[in-house]
Amino acid sequence: MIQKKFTIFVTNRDQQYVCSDSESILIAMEKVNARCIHVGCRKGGCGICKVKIITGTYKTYRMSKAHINSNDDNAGFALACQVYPTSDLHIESDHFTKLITV
Amino acid sequence: MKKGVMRPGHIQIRVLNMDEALEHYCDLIGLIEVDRDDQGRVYLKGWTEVDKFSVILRESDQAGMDFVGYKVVDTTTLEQLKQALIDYGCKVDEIPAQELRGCGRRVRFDSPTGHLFELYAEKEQTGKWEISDTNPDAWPRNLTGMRATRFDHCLLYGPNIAGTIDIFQHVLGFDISEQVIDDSGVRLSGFLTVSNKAHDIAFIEHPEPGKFHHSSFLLENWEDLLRAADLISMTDTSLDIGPTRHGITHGKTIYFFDPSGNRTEVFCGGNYHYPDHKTITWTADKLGKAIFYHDRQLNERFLNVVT
Repeated sequence: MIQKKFTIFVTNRDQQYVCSDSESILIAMEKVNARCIHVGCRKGGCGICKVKIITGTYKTYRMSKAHINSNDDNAGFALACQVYPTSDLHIESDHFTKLITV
Repeated sequence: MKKGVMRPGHIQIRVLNMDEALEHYCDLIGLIEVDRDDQGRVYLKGWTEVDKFSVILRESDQAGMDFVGYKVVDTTTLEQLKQALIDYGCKVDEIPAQELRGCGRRVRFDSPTGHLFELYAEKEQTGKWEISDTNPDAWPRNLTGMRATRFDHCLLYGPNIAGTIDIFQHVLGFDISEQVIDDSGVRLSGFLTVSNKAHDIAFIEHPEPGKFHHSSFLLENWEDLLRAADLISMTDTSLDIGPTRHGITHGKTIYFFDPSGNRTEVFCGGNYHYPDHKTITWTADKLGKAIFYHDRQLNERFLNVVT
């Protein structure tokens, strides 16, 4: 099956990269060594990769309700590690508000 | 073991999907499923552990840890410690025998960091898995994955670790084996032991209460650890860091994530402790080396990725 490829525009970081429909937008970012979304557990549990999808269509898989509840979902928030694009996406990263820097 | 607390006894972990969690904890790490209950919880153990179970998985819509429990020497000790916790001012609850299948009554108490802890004296003792206690063979032949030997400890994050450490040290008789201190002498992290091990539990100061950094499972040596890292790659498991060495405890380690985002550690070796040992201190300016001895710098995930 031919993979479709989409462009992910990370508007708040002014970066973009390519992502196929069979990988999450977080894993695709790591593959090209882009650094515009924080990488955490990659499994929908920790919340650190929280993004807001501004435009585009996508599927999401399992995300801990501690970080994405139904209001968040309706407002376009998601954990990037669980977002699989079905079109080009414009997103904002850095929506995990409790980041600790050393 | 000054006050009769013997060892970490069990940890209940929340998972987003049970089947995937069992692939991680059983197929990959090598724990053995021993029971299930009618709440849907699944009970696991490491092969060298003599009690029936040490890990309980509960399916939930949020990842994290429900509680961690410690086994004490006898029921008299359990009663004494229960009263001591009440006198200290903890909120103490009685969990009846068999609420966890095969486990006696548990004394559950809360803590300033927002974590729930338990003590218990009795649990069904099924023996080491597939190994007799008469003329025993060296290891059982049907282990899977990393073949982890036991649930060893957990690292918990929360505010006011001084408060929780005070309970563990003064009520439960743990020693502070290692610590991280900042410039003004404030303890940022405490590693506590009730045994010969470098740590039976550890805490790091963090603004959010009740957070779970990792559960840790023991392997035997560096070769096992390399093999574990190979298995992590073979199974496309999410890797945090390693194989490498910690500064604190000098344990050799890998951090990785279960399918719900809970961090798991496998480790081997490192320091040991006796009651006459002074506390080992790492200074905050050397925090990178304290956590990741070779890289000598923290990754962003260490302070931020908790469930």
